[in-house]
Formats: sequence, structure tokens, C-alpha cells
Amino acid sequence: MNDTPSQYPPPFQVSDYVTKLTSTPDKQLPVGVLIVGAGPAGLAAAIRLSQLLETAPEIKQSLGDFPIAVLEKGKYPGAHLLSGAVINPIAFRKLFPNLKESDFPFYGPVEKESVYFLTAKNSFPIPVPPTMKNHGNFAASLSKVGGWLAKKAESAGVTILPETTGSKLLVEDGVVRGVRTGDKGRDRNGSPLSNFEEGVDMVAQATILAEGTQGHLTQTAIEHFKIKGPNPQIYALGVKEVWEVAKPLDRVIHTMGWPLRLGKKYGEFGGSFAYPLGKDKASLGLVVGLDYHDASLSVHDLFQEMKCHPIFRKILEGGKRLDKGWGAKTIPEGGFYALPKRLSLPGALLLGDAAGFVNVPALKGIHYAMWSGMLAAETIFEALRGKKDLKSAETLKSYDTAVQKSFIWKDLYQVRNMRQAFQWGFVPGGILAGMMTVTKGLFPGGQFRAKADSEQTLFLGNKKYVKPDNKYTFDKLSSTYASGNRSRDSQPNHIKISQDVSEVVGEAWIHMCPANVYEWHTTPEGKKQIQLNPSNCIHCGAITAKGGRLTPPEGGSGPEYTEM
Amino acid sequence: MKIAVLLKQTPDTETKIKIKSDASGVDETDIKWIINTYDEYAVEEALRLKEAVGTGEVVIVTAGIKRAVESMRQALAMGADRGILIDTEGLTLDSYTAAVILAKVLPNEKFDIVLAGKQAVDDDCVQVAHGVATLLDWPCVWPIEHIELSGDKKSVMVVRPVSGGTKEVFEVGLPTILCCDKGEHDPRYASLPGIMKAKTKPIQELKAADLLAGETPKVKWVNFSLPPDRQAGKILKGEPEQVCAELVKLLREEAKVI
Repeated sequence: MNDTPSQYPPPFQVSDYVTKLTSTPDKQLPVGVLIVGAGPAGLAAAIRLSQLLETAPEIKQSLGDFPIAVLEKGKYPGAHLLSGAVINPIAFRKLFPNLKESDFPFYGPVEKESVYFLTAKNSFPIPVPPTMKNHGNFAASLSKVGGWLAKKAESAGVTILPETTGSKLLVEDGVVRGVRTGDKGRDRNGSPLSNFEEGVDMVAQATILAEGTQGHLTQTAIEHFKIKGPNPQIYALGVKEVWEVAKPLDRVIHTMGWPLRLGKKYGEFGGSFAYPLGKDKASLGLVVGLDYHDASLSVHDLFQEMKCHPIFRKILEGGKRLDKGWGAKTIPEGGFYALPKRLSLPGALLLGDAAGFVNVPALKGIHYAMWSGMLAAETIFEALRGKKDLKSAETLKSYDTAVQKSFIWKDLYQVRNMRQAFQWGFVPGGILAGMMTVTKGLFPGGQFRAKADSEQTLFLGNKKYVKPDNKYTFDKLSSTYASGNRSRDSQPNHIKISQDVSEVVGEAWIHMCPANVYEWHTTPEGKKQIQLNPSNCIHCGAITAKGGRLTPPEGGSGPEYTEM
Repeated sequence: MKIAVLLKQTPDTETKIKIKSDASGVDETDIKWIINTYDEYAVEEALRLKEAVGTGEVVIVTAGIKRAVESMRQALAMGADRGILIDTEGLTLDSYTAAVILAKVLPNEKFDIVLAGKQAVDDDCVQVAHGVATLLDWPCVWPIEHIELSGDKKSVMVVRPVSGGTKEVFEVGLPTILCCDKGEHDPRYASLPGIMKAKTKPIQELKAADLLAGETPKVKWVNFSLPPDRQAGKILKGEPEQVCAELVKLLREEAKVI
């Protein structure tokens, strides 16, 4: 049977999330430039713009009392940021020319690196592919980087509003005018509680969508303005832990192969990483493309099993997972041909992961995110300086041009088909990817097609996982607790799915979700349905890739990452 | 109606507390700071009292170091009007000296009601508000879950829970100090316009050292240690009679509670 999640569309209409401005003036809050998302992209944009406005007080004045405002759905900047991460510092150098490398919020430079091909018992070192070389890059925790950037932005006069979601896109006459923030204080049925606080319309001269992977407003904008790219965006799910280690990890490690299965039947693309975070901590994780076929695949549990492999066990021996040392997040992997047709809209710009600036073979995106933020800030500043109309489609188009002229475009173009090559399995994919690397993308050229993750057929395998020992391996609930998640239980469900799905699709969701959000439930009529535990949700976004739709919950919900 | 809220900044209750390696205090490096949970209820009640009267002022009074301003701004974002920070930088205060400096500041402002949380969730001392009341010779009720202003606005009716579900009802003359328990009103969310406005609301700064007038702490901290790790529970299995006998034996011999 051809069972795909896309056969069960979620109860979600883009039009419900696009609205005109409220007519109540005291529900409007005017700001200069509004940035949605306090991640590397949004904060780099905020910092760069504040630097430019410092040079032009009259333009700053024209932006009102709050020239730059940043919305952040997490409890604090960094709370929802997660990455490996090994960071290319190019954007930091450009954004902070007066700081030294040692001032940046990094753990340390990459000194050695190894890539291994794994089988269940063994590991075989392989040469580091040219795309994966990390000389000159730095290991970091992205949630810490986010907190650091937020402090820099605030000290430059940027207003950051944590615990605030962007719920609807304000659009009038085809122009993005700002964002309606989410309500707070509703109960499970949506009725207002005694402390109910209605969202407001943040009205801006320009809106920057820097929501990261699976951005709610970004996706709404892409669909509303019909600017989807030639290929659908596809995603990978990464599950990550940070450990206190007994002896320092001396290198950056990447692996391919086991525990993923290589055959085309499984369509399992991905790999693992282990990075040193200083002398006493290490970050490790497993990333798996969500175009896999086996509904019994659980990235969380596969990762637990992976930690038992000698190569990882050696690192973790005598160590301990940090109390808040677990998280998960999706990564946009579609690459060049999945980018939206336009990166600018009348009144709005798309940045970073929200746009899809991720180089999969290099496992990098943070420096693209920050660079796109800086280009966005420069575009808006130039438009303001030239007294151009930010509402016109033409004005912000220079952002598209700026991105196309930058290394973001060049890098993504070179590897444009590499991720898609792996749809034919690991070995053919590896050979094609190798040829693409040698020819800098010239061979075989053209555009490889890809299906959306939700359109991949599923079968119900019987993958078995290790039993958690609560020392080296953990179950999903204790992991979810270690994300710091303490979302308010009694709030409306923010995850839109069809509850009546086939056995295979239901099983796929249950296994896929690293936070135990989905389970079977039998109705009094004896019908099997998917039931949700939305307060477990850590907003990884996998459900949106695999046939559902995540919308923002009440601001401040979700994980509270500090080391991710 | 002029209302003060005594607000303390405390570690988030989910923070894993670590002790400094020399056991001289709490290691504050990774702590996330919040408004003391009960003080947030006090802010909510203060705002409701002001709203009920229609006019007046809610003033946030905090003894603490500069980082406490962030928590004060949160209360201002909820709707309080201004703040007074008594900067304690460089000093170690105990409940007594904290009460001394607060009792110096409060009378100058001619407050009708001073609200506080029933206790701070960090040291759980439950002494500062009582101390202030004693020094000022004002009435104080602890803890309260309901406040109502009288028609002539010269007194308040407060409800105080006592053990066994019984409630005591007091009529208290003003000025008074009232210590709020988790009451019937959940603290409100700050609105975005409120957050924006809070950034420019005035916070006056005073120096704690200038207010102490030679008073010194009555408490000396000698050593800090964490409570022992909780032991894993025991599950008894078997026939009910056996299990009961075993339970009684364990309660008597191991837990030594009966």
C-alpha cells in the first residue's frame, strides 16, 4: 500500500494566519524594523542595523521610539536554539571588527578532525571529504551564542521581546505590514483565563522573518505570496545531547553508515557528530533525513543505541549527560533548488534557516544565517537612506541581488544536487556526491528532483531499540525533561494534525517524535485515533515536515536550552 | 491609593543550585533570575487594588544588586508605575538588616498599603516583612489569599488560610503590611505595550549603606551544603498481609517513624 502522510492533510489554512491590521488603535504597536526570531540571523540583522543607524541619527529618529524590535517565542534568547555546532567565524569577524577571536562565544578552535564509516561493531576512518573540512572553525553551543548576541543587540539599543510569538502575518494591499503577536492566557479550549492577554499588531516599516527552521510566519508568507522554490523543502531531524566527559575529546568527529541502513528501501540519509566543548564537555548527536521510509524509525532511540558503539562509548565513559543536556531540532536540507523563488516580499525579507540557507555537505548554516541578516540590514538601511518606499516589491529586491552575489549563493549552488543524490541510496549517492565535489557541481549538473518528506511512502518495519539504562541511554520522557521544557499544560493545542490516520502514518509520527507528543487512543466508539500531548512539544518541527503543521504555542513555552 | 510591593529577585525555582567550591555561598554563574514567586502574586494584588480604586500608584521597592532591575522592569511591565532600588552592592544583608533599610525608605513615601510575598523562595526565611512591620509599628497579616478595600478606603478586609481549611477574616487599619500567598488571581502577563513602556518608567536608586546607620547583620553564614541526594524508593511486593507486615517493620526499623 502506498501510504504517505500527505494523504492526511492537517486542519490548517494559510488564510487563517494572514490578516489585515486591527482597527483598534490601542492594539497597534508601531516599531521601526520588526525582526521575528532572536537567532543568529535575526540578531545579526538587528546588530548590523543598529550599527548603521548609529551613523545616521536622522534615519534612526524616523523609525520612532523603538527603531528595532525582535520577537522571540522562547523564554529567553537562545532557549530554542540548537545546533552541533562547528561555526565558521566569518560573520562574527565582519560584524564585530573590534573584537578578537577569543572574545567570541566559542569553546575553541577545531584542532583535529576525523570522519569514520561505522558498522555495528567497528569504525573505519575515511579521508575527510573536502566539503567537511573544519580548519579555522570553532566549536560552540548555539544557545549560548544566541544569548551572547542578544546582549550585544540590547546594549546597542535593540528591543528584544522574549516569550512573544509571531502568530499572524499582517498583510494589506499585498504588502507585509508587520506581525500580530500570539495571545496569552487561554485555556485548553481557547477560552480566556483571568489573566488573558490579547496579542497586539506590531506594525513596522519592514519585517524581517528570521524564524529559523519551519518558521510559522515564513511558511505562511511563502504559501500566501506563492514563492515556493522549484523543489519542495526537505528536512532532517537532529537529536543532540551535551555530556560532561571524564577526559577531554581531542577532535571533531563525524560518522556515516551505522546505525542508519544504507539500502534504497530505507532511504536513511544522515550521520552523527561529536564535538569537544572545552576540556570537560562534549556535544554529540545524530541527524537523519526525514525522507526515510520505515515508520518504526525513531531518531531519538537510534541515537541512544548509537551512544553504545565503542567509538562513542569511549568518549562518554565515566561521564554524565547534563541535567539540561538534551534537545532536538529539524534542519532544512533542500538546498539551492528548495530556496523560495524570492527572498524579499513587499515589506518583508526572508533570512537564514527560514529561507533554507543550509549547506548539507558542509554541515553549515549559522554563518549563512548571520551573513543574510547583515545583508538584510544593509538593504533596509540603504532603502531608508535613499528614502525609497519599503512597501514596493522593487525596493527590497536588492536583498535578493545581495544574497546572489554573496558566498551564500556560490556555496549552495556548488552543492545544489548533493543531498538529492542520496535518494538512490548511500553508495550511488556517495559516488555522485564525490563527482560533484571534484567538478564543483558541474557534473552531472541540472536539477535533481526531490519529493517532500510528507510524500515519501512509509512501511511499518519492526526496528528494535536498546532498553534505556538511565546512565548512558535514556527514554524519550526523561530526555524531554532534560530539554528544560515546562510548557503550561492548560493552553490550546498548537499542533495541527489529522487525528484519523492509517496505522503506518500514526506509527511513523509516534516513533519520529523525540518528545512523546503522539500516542494512540481508542475513542468510546472503538476507533483508533492519534492523541496529542502538546505540552511535551519541543518545537523541533519534524511534524510539519511529515504531514502535520506546527503553529506557535503560547509565548515562553517549549524547551529552555542553555547548552544546545 | 499608594501601594508598595516589596519585591525580591530570586533564582528560578527550576534552577539547579550549586555551592561554591569553598562552601562560602551559592555559585550564581548559571542561575536564571526571576521575581520571587509570591512577590509576583503581591504585584498582581497591588495592581488590582489600584484598578479597583481607579487612582493611585504602585511602587516596586527592591533591596538588591543591579541585576534585580530586570525583575523590577518585569513588574513595571505588568503595570506598576515606578521603582525604588536600594542598591546592596558590596553588602551582605540578613533579614534584619533588609528590614532596617526598607523601614527607612517606606515611611518617606506615605504608603497606604505595603504588599509582599509570604516568603522568598530562595532562603525561605519569612522574616523581612514582619521585621519591617515591627520597626514601623504597623499591623501585619501573614499569609493572605484575599484582600478587599473597605468603602471608606481606611481599612482592608483580608482572608488568611489556617490549617484544616479554616479561614480567618481580619479587618486591618491602614497603613499595613500584608504578605501574599498564592491567591485567587494568577499574575497577569505583561502586555507588549506594557513591556515597551516599562523600559522608560523611573527607577530611583538609593544606597543601602547610607540607610543602615551602623546596623549590622544578626546572622553569620558559616557554611553552605546541599541536602543529601534523595534515596530511591522501595516497592514491596507480595500478599497484602506480608506487605503490611514488611511495611510496618520498615517504618519502625529503617525509617524510624513509628
